[in-house]
Amino acid sequence: MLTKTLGVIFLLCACLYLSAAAGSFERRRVRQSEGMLMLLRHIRTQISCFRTPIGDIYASFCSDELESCGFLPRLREGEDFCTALQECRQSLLLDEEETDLLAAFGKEVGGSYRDEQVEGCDYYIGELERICRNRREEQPKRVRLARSLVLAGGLLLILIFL
Amino acid sequence: MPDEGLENLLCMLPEAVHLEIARLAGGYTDFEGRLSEIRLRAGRVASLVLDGRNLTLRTSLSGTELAALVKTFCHNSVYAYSESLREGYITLTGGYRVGVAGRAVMDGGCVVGVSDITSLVIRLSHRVRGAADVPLQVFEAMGGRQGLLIYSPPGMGKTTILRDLLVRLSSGPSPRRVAVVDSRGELAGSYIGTTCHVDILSGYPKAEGIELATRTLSPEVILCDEIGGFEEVEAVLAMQNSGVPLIATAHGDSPEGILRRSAIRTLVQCRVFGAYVGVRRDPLRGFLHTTGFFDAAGDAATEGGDTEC
Repeated sequence: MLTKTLGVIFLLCACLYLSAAAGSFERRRVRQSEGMLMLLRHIRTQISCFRTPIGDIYASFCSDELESCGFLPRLREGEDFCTALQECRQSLLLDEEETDLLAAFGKEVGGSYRDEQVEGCDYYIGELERICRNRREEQPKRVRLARSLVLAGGLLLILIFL
Repeated sequence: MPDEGLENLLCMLPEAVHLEIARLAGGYTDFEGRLSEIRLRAGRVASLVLDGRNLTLRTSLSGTELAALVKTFCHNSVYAYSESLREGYITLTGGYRVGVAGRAVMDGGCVVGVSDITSLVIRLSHRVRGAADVPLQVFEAMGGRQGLLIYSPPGMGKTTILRDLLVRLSSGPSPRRVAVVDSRGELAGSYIGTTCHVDILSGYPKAEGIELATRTLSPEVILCDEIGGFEEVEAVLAMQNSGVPLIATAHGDSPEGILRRSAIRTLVQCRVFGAYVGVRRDPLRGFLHTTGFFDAAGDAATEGGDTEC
């Protein structure tokens, strides 16, 4: 009886932890996407207004999310945008569409003159804004879904256990 | 061992080119000062100038590889170098200049960029100690109060002489305050020591740079490379009123040849330049100089024949 009680409590705690983690995961996805969007906007402004070299642009940008996943430190060390994106694939919670978009941006950045570069940035910023908007709108539903699935799974396990 | 700037440059080049250069130069220990140019051509032979001789490399690059190299030279920021690319060059750290040839991108009749890169000509800078011996003597002979014009055909070492002159004038027991208008970023390199009394205006167009230097930097001498445009004449004449001598270089093969250029003739007639030094470079004998003074009428009177240096 005691074992069962402890088991139920453990399962309940695990469910609560996992549902909180699922919510945190979704929120982190959105923050990372928004961090990428802010980075692209920063790049666009620096190129458009000051023609700042790309290394200096990365050095002057701050984002806790992109810093903690290791993406920004890699850029500051001189790593290519596409390479940094590839290396941080595990820690960046981006979906395939977003990864492909950013990879395409990475191939183009720094390779053309100012006007073309700014036009390119505008295109990628537009696409990324769309993705971020969709993600923000879906976030509450995804969090609710994740929590519901975790809790339902947990309850099922508790019932089986009992 | 090659200096840090040269080593960084070589690291940017494709490995095949790197190895070929090392092979032709017989290794790095005897390298520096001998290699003056590297030429890379899309789909054609690459070459270099070593000890004054054109040598062919056993490798060639494609147009795509040249474009990637341009991006590397621009530190992955081609847009930041668009002004210099429009004029056909990129300046690398260390004062190395890369000439860029390709297809002009036109807008409204003006060149706004270059695409489909076909050639890159990397000119390696280095200080040759003693290169400025003769020009310095001529300048001192005028009491350091009149300007000096150094001329030669392209590739004969005017910029190399100017680099040595810059250091010699701005350092030593009686240094002068030297302002350098370094439009292409070729003159101010790592060889300028911390004890040189130099103020560098990097990237400024010559006319603006000369005017700014005169107005704000209180120099005792102004140095600039490749003078000869009419837009510079006004700035130089205004500078002359302040009494600051100008040491400048110009393309030309003889005093008569350079005086045929209206802008330079105007400067000579206005007594901006009191003397000239013509330069040639012989692979065996080094720098050869022809010196002379400009008379009041603005004509050249040659004094010395070829002086070896």
